[in-house]
Amino acid sequence: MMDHIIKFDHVTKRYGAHEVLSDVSCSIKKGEIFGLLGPSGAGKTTLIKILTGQIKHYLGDAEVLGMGSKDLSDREYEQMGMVLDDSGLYERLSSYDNLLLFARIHGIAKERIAEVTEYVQLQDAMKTPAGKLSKGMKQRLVFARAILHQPLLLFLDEPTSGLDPVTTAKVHDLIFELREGGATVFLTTHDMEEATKLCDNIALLNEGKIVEYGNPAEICRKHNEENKIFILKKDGSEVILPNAQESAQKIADYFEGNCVLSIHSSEPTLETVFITLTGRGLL
Amino acid sequence: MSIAGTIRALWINQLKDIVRNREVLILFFVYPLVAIVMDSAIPEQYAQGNMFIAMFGTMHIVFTPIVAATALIAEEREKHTLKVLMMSNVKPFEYLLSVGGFIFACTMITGSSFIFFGGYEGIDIAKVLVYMAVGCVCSMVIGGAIGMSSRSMTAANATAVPLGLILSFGPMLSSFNQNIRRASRLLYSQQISDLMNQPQIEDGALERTVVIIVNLVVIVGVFRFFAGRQRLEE
Repeated sequence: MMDHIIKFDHVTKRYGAHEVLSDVSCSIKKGEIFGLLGPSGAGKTTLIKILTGQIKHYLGDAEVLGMGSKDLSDREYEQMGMVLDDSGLYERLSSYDNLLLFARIHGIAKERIAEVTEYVQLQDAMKTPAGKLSKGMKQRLVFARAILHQPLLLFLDEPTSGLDPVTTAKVHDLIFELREGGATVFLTTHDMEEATKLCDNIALLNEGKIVEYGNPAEICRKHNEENKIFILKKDGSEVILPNAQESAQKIADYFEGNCVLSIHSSEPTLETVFITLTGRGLL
Repeated sequence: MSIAGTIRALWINQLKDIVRNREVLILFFVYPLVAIVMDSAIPEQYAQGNMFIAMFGTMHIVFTPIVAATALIAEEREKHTLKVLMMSNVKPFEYLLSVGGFIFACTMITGSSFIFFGGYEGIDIAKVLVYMAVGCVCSMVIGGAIGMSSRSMTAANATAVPLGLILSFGPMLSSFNQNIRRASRLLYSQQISDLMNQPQIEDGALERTVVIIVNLVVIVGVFRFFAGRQRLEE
């Protein structure tokens, strides 16, 4: 049984003189939600294209489901599902017909369509032409198509980009449920909150280079250079204490005196970590 | 999934899609209908033999598959449905066989009306059908090359429509101008037009066959060039 579902080693991709990916390496375990985080143009989509076999000319090694990404066969593609940056829906056809085509291509029974539409809560839109669905519904239809054949590995390229908060939350729930079902998820995003909430591990990609890798909470702790506790008191004043044992009694006194409005640590967000490391924001 | 199963799935999909795609659907009916109307409405002394049948039959066999293949393939590329199909284990040849077979079937079924209204008999029916089929394949491959090489549907149509018009109107113009005829006799569309007009004439059968085969080889070569370039562009 392979340990890693995805492994890429010293991958470099150039378009002419422009280096889109520069010596990037990483591995993703089975059942993991992995997030590739970076601003637009960082090389996220290029890496997904390399891993899904859409780009075959690059330097280094990339392995997906135990096979080199340049040599992915029908067997590997049958185990992969994708939500790419473009929907690829037949807009004149109904949602049902869009799913039926791929059920037929994968040799799946029609009953599975009902299962996935219920899963993504699109039962009422099955007769609606895909072109008339809202953006969130289209995204859920694309999701349904991607999981129709119960893939082991899902590639999600900016899965919640441009969606409203309610639909975004639904998509997040779906991703967690897929992980519970044993799927491995590789997603790209420039939304650091989404990455913090969803991902077991993330890689911060900037100008084609991975500048940080690890669990989001651990990354934030690692870059907590101030290591301070901020207490906002009810009288409006703020107290800053070192995050150390000697502050414990002072903090307890503030609480006993019922004068604490809020308390938080100086732990940075992923965005501030990214800014610290690269000198630029994620958007 | 078997190759036949995949092609069948794509065919059913094309069929469902085309009935909702009026712009392309109408292409398959416009020339047969115009030919029937013209043939019935204009007295015989003004239209020699199968003039309208040959004229509109050639337009149908040449123009329609070029524009239909261009429109369907360019749309699949622009809307990224082609990419999704490829990522779902559909092979390029399965896709091309399905879309090509679908356009071929639609063109030949609606184009068979020219056989009926042209009054062809016996062996002439078979000859015209074979030449129509070869012409349809040439046109589809041209459309496929345009669809695959264009950046957008608009750009694809901007190439396909004028090219389709030149190839399909060339034979008609050549009957009025010998200079045009000298050039257009090298095109498959002129040969198909001549054959549909006078299928019983055996003179020049070899030349006609050679011209069509050479056209087909060149067109397939151009298609392969563009298909290869698409792969290189990733």
